[in-house]
Amino acid sequence: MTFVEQILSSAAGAALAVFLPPLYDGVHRKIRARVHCRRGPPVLQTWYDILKLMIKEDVVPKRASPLFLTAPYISLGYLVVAAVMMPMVYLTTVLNFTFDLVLLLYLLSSASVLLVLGGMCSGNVFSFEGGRRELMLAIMTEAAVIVSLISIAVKCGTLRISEIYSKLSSGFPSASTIIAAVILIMCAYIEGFRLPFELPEAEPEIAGGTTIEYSGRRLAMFKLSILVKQFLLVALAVNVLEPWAMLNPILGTPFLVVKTFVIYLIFALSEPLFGRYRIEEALKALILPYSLSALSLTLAILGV
Amino acid sequence: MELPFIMLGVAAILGALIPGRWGHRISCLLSIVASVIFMFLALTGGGESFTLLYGIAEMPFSLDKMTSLFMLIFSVPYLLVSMYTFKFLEERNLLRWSRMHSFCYPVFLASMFAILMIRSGLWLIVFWEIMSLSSYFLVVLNHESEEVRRAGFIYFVMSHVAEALLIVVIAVLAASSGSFAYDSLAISYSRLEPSVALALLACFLVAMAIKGGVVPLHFWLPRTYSAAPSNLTALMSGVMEKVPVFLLLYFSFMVFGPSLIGGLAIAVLGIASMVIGSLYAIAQVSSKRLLAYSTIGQVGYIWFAVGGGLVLYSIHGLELLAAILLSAGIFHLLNHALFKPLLFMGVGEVVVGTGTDDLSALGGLVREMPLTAAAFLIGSLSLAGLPPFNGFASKWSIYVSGIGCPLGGYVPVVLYVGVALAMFAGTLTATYSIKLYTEIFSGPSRIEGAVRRTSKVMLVPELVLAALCLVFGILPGLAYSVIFPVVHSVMPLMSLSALLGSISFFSFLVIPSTIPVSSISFLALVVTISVATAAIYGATRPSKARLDEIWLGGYNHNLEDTKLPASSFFSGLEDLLETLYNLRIRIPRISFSEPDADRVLIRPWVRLGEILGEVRRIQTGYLQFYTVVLLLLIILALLMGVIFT
Repeated sequence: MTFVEQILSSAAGAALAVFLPPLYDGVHRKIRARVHCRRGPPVLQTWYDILKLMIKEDVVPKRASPLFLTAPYISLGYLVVAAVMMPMVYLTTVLNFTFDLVLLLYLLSSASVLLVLGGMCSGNVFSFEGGRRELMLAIMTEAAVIVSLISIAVKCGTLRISEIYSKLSSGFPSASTIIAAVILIMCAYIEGFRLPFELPEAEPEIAGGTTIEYSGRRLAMFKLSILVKQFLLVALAVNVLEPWAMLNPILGTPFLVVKTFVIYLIFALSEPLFGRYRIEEALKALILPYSLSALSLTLAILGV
Repeated sequence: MELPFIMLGVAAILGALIPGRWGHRISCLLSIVASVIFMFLALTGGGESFTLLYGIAEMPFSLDKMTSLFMLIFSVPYLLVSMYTFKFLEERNLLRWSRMHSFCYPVFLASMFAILMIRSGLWLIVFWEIMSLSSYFLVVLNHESEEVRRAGFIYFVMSHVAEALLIVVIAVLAASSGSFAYDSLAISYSRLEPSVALALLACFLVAMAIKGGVVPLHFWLPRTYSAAPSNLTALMSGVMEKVPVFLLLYFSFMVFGPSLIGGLAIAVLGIASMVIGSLYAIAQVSSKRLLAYSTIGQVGYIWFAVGGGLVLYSIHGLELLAAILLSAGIFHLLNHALFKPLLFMGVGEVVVGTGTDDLSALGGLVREMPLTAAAFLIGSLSLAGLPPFNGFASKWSIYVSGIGCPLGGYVPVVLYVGVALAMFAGTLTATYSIKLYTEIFSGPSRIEGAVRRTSKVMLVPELVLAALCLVFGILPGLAYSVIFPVVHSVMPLMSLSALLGSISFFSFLVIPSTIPVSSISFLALVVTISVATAAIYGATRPSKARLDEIWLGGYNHNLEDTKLPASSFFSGLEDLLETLYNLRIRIPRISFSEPDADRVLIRPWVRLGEILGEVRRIQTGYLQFYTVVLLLLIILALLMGVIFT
């Protein structure tokens, strides 16, 4: 029975992690268009885009290295493993590693690292520019993510995600975990490259940045990877804020959809408020989540 | 047991006598054979002690578990770097000084193994001096350039400052016991007053921190590394920086006894080192300097784990966690001894091929050196700590065992903050590894002239190291099954079966006492990741791709003109962290030099030397003058004898 539960939980989590993010992206585009007083594309537009890219011709630069060709696939592979491993709808999953919080962190950042590496191995100067911007943003956001995850781990006294959730569901959320979850959501927003942090792609400025030389199916995988990674961070954070639904094997899935939808709604409504930052402005803005995360670690060590 | 040492001695003498290519080859070949013998000794040796007698000199050697482990770890980079050196000197046009190189290289190797095996404080100082001197002569091998001589001078002074401190420690301890053997040093240490003991511990730590290149005493390291030839930097980074770690461990357990305060100091130095080293590394524009700062950062990880292990060992009930953290540190040391020489050798090959280590000029070498690029990529991904490479396995163990300490008191706070900063440094490490790889091997290049083809002999060691990186990433249990018994031999408070029970051959699992038992199987991780990737690739396999030129916005630019300078890579971040970088004093911004510490730390020694140099005025050269002085001194001595008795 438990094994079936584990399989179902992992399958539901992974399926949601792959299929929801493009849908939410469609919602996002719709809402943004509405704020701009446009009609906007259909909600399924991002899925249509991905499916269309699947049948498009692949064009690859002559000087591209093997890493360029394989990176989007490996990156998505890392993310799928992370999605299968991470409890999202129920407390147990198939891949049961001891200290999966650290592993999850490394899987997520490795996926980004591979995308950047792949883009930069195209040899195009625009993707170099995009890649170095993404790396700079990553240094700041990863630092905030790491410190807030450690503060959650310290507060709950464990590095296992499922135990963290069961500990959290047994009491009221504390100040440090709430702050940490908010930071995670902020970082998820930034890692999704939304305005004002849309620096690595910056279509009008560096013409797509890291994605510039990608086309066809590899581009589809690349875009999907970015969306899935963002979703995983959001799911991790909303489950920290509201862990009770995960205790029930049936309620978990619909609740996850609702919880993440609320967050993505906030994302969609906040994006039209901003213009794009320059890189140094963006980095300066990222001091906020970083210092907040230090606060949350301090609170966690004090036991609040 | 003396066989490899004798062999290295013969290698040195033959190398010094026979000029040119053949002397060099003989000395390299004998070094290779000697390192194989050392490896064999390390694998078969089981705790025997023996004394070598040369005339009146008595050298107590011992081959206990810790020594064997370090010998094993050291012998791998020795063997492979010696193979690399076989061709490197020739390709790098350094054969002019082959006699100096052929003499010093085997001596350098022998001195480090001797430091591991020796059990006497006096001989430790002697071998330390031999190590410093031989490596100094290798650093200044290319001494025609002013910069190399200057860097060599700084290195020379700093290693001797470290040695002076080491002499103080050994001399004070030996004075009260009358013997230089480690055992009697330990007895006299335990009899010292606490304040004196603390002062000695501090001296020892500073000496080791200097040699290990630990912040804030690291400033000699980047200069030395960018001046020295690449085969030497591979050895210095891969092996020599680990000698202090060995001495720290050995002295902490055998002489000083593990103490909370010593452990804390080591851990804090380690934390500072990994953060500062990694921060400076991202700003470098030369591949050698970048790797030098990266060495500082990675040595910081090792120190943090060793210090954290000592700290936890002093808390009752956390012995198992302490042992695991310490083992993780040793595992990281092993991994660093694999991927850092690999990276340095790769950089050396690039320097041979293109004549430069400037990241702003390099680029696109993946076409000219595909195999080097592949090995280099594995090395930099290991350094970056991507699963499933070995850097991930050891860093992961450091994180989880560092944070496994339960709350209470200030010790866990240090460890938590340390782990948080270690993870932050890990992010920085990942980013500068990407910078290093992409700036050298991808993108356009500004290299002038054709890229020289390099010898295959230099490629083989790199590929072997890359394979080892992968093996230890997938099967960390392999390394831990060797490391745990060693750690148990110095930390006998917990049971060996509890430690060994945490390994199964294909998986590795850590059981800090507070956390329920379960496992992470790295093999399972690798399998799942590859299956997932393959499935995605199989399901969406792209059709045959059309090859086309790079798109540059529709303009017909020369690709070479689009190469960005490496200094702009992290420029936004560097501006943000300007205050951190500006700890240095009045040096043009672009060069990213260090705080001008040599003015503070080295000038006084030079000044002292100058003052002492005044003494030479006594040396007039007249025999009569000397006779008079001698007579005066005898009279003085007689007078003093009369007065005081």
